[in-house]
Amino acid sequence: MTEILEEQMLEESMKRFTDEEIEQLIAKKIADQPLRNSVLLPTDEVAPECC
Amino acid sequence: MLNRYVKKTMHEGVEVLYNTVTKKSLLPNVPHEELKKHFFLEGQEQDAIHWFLSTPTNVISFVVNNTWECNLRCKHCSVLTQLVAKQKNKFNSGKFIAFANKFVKEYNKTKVAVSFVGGEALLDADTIIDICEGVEGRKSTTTNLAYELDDKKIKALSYMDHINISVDGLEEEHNQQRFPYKGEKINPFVITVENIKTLIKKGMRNKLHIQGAFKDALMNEEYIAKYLRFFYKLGIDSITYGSIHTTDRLKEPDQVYLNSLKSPILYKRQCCAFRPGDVFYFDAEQKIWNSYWSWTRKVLGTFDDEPTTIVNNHIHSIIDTMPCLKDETCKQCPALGVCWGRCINGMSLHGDSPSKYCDQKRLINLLDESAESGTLIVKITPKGDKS
Repeated sequence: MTEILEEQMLEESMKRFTDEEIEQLIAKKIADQPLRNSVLLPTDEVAPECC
Repeated sequence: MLNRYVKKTMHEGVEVLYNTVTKKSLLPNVPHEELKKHFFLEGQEQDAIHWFLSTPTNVISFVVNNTWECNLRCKHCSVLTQLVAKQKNKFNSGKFIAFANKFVKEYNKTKVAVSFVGGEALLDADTIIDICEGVEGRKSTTTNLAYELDDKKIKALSYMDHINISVDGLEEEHNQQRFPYKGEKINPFVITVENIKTLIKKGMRNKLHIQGAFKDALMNEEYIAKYLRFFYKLGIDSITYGSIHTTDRLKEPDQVYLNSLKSPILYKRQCCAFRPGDVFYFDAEQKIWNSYWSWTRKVLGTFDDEPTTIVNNHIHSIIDTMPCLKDETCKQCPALGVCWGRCINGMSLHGDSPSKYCDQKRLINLLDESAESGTLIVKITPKGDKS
């Protein structure tokens, strides 16, 4: 992959969500994930409070 | 008379009896013999527990601790006491690959996952590449990404289906938790974020998962929103966060963590940490372990042992180490089957008495509500299953 293409990938990624969409995502995430102990697995899966 | 782990509930429009320990459901009018066969009867509680904890599934997760070396020394690290300045032996990829493939074949495992953890697993990228080429299945790693991202590391990361990147806050807060080993003058947060950008440029954005372990002071909606905004702006939307839990070095629990223990929620899926032959941990000393965390680790055998030996040792280690099975209050609790498994990470705090920190009444109420509303039975999607 050329450097120009790589830069384009980053640029496109950074344009993935509009500011409005980001605020909607934040509101949804905070509503869906309570502020608790959420165990972060050292494996391939993140499960709520599970090991 | 049914045992205390069985609840009457609805599943796909049909009334069923659901055994919350074995995860089996039966129609209410099945013959008595069927109820007995599947451990639904009063007096069969212990049999139900034993059956569940000694029955392998079609899932296997090989967790490879290829190195205990790490470029960081983090305050809240779960394995801080196991980190080393220099790994004595190189991880034996050849022997591991042979064991893993033999295990998959013998136990007819159809859902295979290989995860790389450390230390910092990417410090030994050669081993990761060898194993990814030698064992089929879903690959993942947990990494701090705070190192020079050379071609070999990028190659190793390119094999992954899932890359968990630990970022414990924004720059100031992250760097307060994460210190460079040997005191180098580096900014771990900036390096990690620059490397995230590099991986995005390489087309790996959809593999990236950001995970944050937050101290009490950061566990508020305003801070979480700032944190999420930062990564959403990079285009990453796979993000989770949770409170820091106690470790064998970090004895004083954060309040959010303590509150979580005291106000448990239902954990309806199967407990993966305590299923024999479901998940094993492999290290550079050619030992196979039951767990990642130092406070529960027991050796099950070596890379030279037969898979059946490892599984049998695992069954015994589960019965011996699972805190809630040593706590009579937990064993008597009708919600045991929708709670167990969590006790492993609280173990450094509560030892073998998890009920000390539990609002059991709340948990039982949640269970009853879930059974009544028909939401108790969930589809189990084990590790390695992409569906």
